[in-house]
Amino acid sequence: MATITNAQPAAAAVPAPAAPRKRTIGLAWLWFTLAALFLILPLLAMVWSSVTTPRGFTLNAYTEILAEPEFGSRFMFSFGAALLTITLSTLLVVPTAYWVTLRLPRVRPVIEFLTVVPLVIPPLLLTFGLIRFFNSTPLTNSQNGLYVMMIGAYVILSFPYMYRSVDAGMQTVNIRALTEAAQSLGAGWGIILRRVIFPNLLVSVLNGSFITFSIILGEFVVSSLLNQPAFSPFMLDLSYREADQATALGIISFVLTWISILAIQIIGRGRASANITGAR
Amino acid sequence: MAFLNLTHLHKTFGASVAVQDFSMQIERGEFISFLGPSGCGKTTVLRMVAGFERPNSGSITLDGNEIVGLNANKRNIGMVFQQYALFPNMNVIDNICFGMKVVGTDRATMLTRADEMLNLIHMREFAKRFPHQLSGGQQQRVALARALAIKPQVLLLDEPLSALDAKIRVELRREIRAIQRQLDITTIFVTHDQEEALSIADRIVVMNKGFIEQIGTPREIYNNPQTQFVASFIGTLNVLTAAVANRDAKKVLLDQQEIQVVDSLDSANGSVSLALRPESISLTRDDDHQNCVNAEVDELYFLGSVVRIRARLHEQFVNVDTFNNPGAALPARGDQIALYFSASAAKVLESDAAKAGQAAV
Amino acid sequence: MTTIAPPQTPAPPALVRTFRRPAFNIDWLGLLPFFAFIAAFLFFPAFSIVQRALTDSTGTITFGNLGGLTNPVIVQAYRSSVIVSLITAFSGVVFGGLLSWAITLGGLPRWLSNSVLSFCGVAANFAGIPLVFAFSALLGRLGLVNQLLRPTGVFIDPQTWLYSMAGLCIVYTYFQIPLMVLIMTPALAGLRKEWREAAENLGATQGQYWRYVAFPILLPSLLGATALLFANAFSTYATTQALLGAMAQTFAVTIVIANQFRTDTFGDPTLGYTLAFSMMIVIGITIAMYTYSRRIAERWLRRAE
Repeated sequence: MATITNAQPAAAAVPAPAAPRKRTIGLAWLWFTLAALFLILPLLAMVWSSVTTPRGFTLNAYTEILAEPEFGSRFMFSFGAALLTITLSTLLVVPTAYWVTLRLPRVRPVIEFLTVVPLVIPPLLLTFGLIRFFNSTPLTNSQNGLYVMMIGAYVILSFPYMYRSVDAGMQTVNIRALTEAAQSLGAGWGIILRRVIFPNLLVSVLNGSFITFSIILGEFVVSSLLNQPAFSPFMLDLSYREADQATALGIISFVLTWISILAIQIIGRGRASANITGAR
Repeated sequence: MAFLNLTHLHKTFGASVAVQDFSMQIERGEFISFLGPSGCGKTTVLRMVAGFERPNSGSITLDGNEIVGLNANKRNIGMVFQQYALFPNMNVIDNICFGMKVVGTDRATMLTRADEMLNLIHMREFAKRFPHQLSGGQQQRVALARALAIKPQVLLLDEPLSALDAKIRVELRREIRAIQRQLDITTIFVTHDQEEALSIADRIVVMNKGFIEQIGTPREIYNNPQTQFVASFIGTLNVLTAAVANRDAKKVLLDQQEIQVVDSLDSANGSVSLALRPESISLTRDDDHQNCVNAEVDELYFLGSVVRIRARLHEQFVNVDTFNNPGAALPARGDQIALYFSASAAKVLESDAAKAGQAAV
Repeated sequence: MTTIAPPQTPAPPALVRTFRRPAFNIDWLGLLPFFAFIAAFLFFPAFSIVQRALTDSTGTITFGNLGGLTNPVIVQAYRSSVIVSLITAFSGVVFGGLLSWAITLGGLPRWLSNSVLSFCGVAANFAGIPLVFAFSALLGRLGLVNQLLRPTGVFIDPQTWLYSMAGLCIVYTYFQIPLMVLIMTPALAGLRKEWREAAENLGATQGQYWRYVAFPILLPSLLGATALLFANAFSTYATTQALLGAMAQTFAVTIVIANQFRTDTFGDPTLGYTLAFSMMIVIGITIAMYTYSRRIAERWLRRAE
């Protein structure tokens, strides 16, 4: 299940400590250290394990995995799926969000609810539902069909983040006021789209895109159940064969996720950014 | 020895000085207002009295006892916050009883006292409501009752009305003053709204940039501002520049028209600042109006009971307030009119902020 | 003096369209693509699970299929899932809550708190295959811990501590903690300074403030977080599969469902759907709890000032 929480932008995330007492600072540091140990040790262990062999320190695992052709193809598969998902999702979400904000504000709660539902449906159930629903249609009878279903599931899973991000962005810039101002100054729809809507929403779309990318890259359930050659199932298979390489792969994937989140925070500085949990 | 003594309080936050050498004696039962713009230090002083900030130096004594070293929860001082700060998980009566509960008061006493308080604020029927079910004004009254329930020696109010609508503000400030008189409780009321301070305080402390500008009764502050800051902060005021014409005879040139003042010009250099209240200028001559200047009407503002005329001298503008008289004819824009005022109405201002010692009254 | 007019709600902003127009106008068409997509890829699939679970071979609605859930293997899997989810929900709430407290109210430097928050954003997403690698590298037979402990002769047996229910709990906790931090930090940050000051001013000690004010205010958020963490753990799939391999089925309902769909291990085609339906119910309940808690929390923290 993917969940969403709104972490405030970095600057306002944590309130300035208000007159902390001596005792509590000590406790806070203690607790922080313990937690940090628990959270960092496994990562360190993973790094350590990927560079040490009985023979000594080596980066072989990394060079081998990067040279492995399947790594490239699997990664590109997931990457391509992510791009496709993001595109589709953007095409569906942006006009809808815009339309709701401008023309049908009353529907907003309904749409918001609808976009939260995918968060709570475990991808497992979603996948089976899809298989059942599209059973005996061309979608389930061919590899391409299954691919389409996967993308469909991915788009659904991306909705909460894309919609939230775009919607938040629209509220922040008050897209309605901007549109009305543009209209009163004589701008036509083309100009409004190009000069008003698109630039102001670019950051929100990017925001949502990075989260989606991150999710899809780490996603396991859907692609595994639909027998798609994605990145995550590849990692699991690899671990049965070449443990070291798999570990290196794990680290690479972690770094990629970190970069995505960092990108979100840099780009989305000053706005509320949504954080997620992906495939478990 | 006054009831509440603040002596040479000094507070810095990092590199900036928030409060400079603040001294004041407050008598039991007085209603004092700290008045000034944002950042002048008034809230900092209040919080030092409450115990939420520690002064870098200076002392605060309450009824003879030094309280600077005392924790905030031991001072028996009640505080009302700008944002009400009612506990959202408790209803009205639980909020009011909170101060008594934490010291272990028995239930019967708590409820009796809470009942008293609810009567005081006229909110008996709201006893079981929760804060989110109350309006802003109602929440603030509950906050007041909560602070008073513990029978504090001093009541502190930190801009309690700023978050409320204008009409509620006026009603509530009257209520606060009435309750304060009834309980005869020493009170400090912080505000940036001079009308608020003027209307309900016994004495006002005008602050600016961490300093005390002037301490006095509302009438004194309004009619005898000691510094330019006080004069321009309180009420509407004409602040005009005049050149010294005759130091001994106390005559100055206001836009090339000579007028008489009564204040000493000895300490002034070439030019002085004059403070002139709009209501002290008249369109008709009276016996005590020694001065007369000519001006041209620039604009008229009808303010209800008062008509404000904005007139142009030569380069400077002057506001003149006259009572609205339906029978009288008003000058029109562009008319030439004569403005009359007494010599004592034009006050010569100091240009520096008055220090605490000099301003204490 | 007793009558004070309630505050006026602000007038709704001027709209491009007024409300006077009939509800069913062309504007609704604009939402068509979105609705169509959601219908096709979310609702109908979800519905078809429910339908398949609740109808028998003749097509009539029945609850009879649910009987299949009494199979001991399934019951075992459910028990395990619930136990693990409860344990890790609590461990996540407690430990994550403490970490969240440390970075919001504990007095740590701002840069450190923000870094922790960032890290949690990543760590919460780190679940799945890579996480299992990490813990294997840490607690495995040849893992870091055992290597470091070799001189002392102490051996942490991964069979007990990693590839077991205990191991599941430990690994799940790894992503439960960051999730808790992400959920609770806004709630803790929403504890207004004035409440603490007002409590202090009225004579309360730190302990009394927490007991009577802060903790009750946070309670809805805590309950909501527990529900969310529970649902989170309950729906885990990849991590469990990667960690336990063939054993996974006995530990998690999700694995049972997946296996059932893939290979019909129980010889009952409908069972998969029944299982999926049952899981939907569990998740649905927890999410309802979460939403309800959030609503209360928002109500208190929004208008109460």
